[in-house]
Amino acid sequence: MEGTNRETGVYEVNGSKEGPTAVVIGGMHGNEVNGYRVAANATNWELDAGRLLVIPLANIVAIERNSRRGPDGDLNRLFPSGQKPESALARAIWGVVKDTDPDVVIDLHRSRGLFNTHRRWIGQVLLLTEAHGERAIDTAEYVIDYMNENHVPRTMRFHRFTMADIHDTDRDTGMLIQKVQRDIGALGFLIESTEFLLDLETQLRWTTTITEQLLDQNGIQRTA
Amino acid sequence: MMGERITLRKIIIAPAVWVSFALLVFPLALSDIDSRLFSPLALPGYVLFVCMTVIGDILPKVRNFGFRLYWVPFIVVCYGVSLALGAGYYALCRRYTIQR
Ligand SMILES: [Zn+2]
Repeated sequence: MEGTNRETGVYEVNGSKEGPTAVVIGGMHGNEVNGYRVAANATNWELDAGRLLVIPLANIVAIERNSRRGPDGDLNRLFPSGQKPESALARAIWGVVKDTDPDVVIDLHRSRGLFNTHRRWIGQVLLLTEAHGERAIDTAEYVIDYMNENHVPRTMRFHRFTMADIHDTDRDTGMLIQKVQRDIGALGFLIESTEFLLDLETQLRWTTTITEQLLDQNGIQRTA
Repeated sequence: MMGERITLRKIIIAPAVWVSFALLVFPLALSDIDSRLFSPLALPGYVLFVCMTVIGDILPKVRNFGFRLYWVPFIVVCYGVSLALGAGYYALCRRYTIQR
């Protein structure tokens, strides 16, 4: 990626038919293994329609250090709306996202705790931005129900996925999904899957399924 | 059997204690290795584990510990709970025998 010292690759997967465009990003936080591994796998997916752009190892320096923050701090706070992103890497990522002109952007993350249970952690959440329309909410609700019905064991009550939005309309979080919504009007989703009492394989499975389901709901079906 | 005293030693080695300990710990440990193995049997251990982390998460010093580390106090607490359950169980049995 231009403007960065280390190589942060961008991959493109094209479906057999015309369709919407999506961007999937992993490794925004370098210690969130599920995110960058699922995104890396997604570079080999086959789609029935549409176009998928994948940035699997967004913050490669942080990934190599296995730390949340990279040299410029928390990468997912460097995307202020209506302004230039605040680091070379953030600008490079934003350049790719903007040029792709996506319909939907999915950012993959990991939480350490559980929603509404552990005060300091967000938990298993599908995060939307405040500007979401009804369609985004319907999509999120469908996907959350799908996960809770088919993947989260019934008795694992505290692990159920939930929808949350970045509340304050005025507050700029600097998160990529918010900039995506405000600056280019695309749908932005942030997936938080937890590591709490879950083995890595399960984290990968759940992150994969929720990504597939979100793409599917946006007209991009994975075939292999 | 009437009037037999329940000693601490008897409770520690009592089957009821170990059975409840095993039921609290093993189903959850199994699911921790592969969450597809999570069964309703893991529910008591699951609730206890979550409760312990909720409390730990608001305590100033403890909150910096990763949740993985909770397995150690969890096992200790499970044993404590099992002792209480075991003692309760044998006390009930004893009462039942005496009444008969
Ligand atoms: Zn993250």
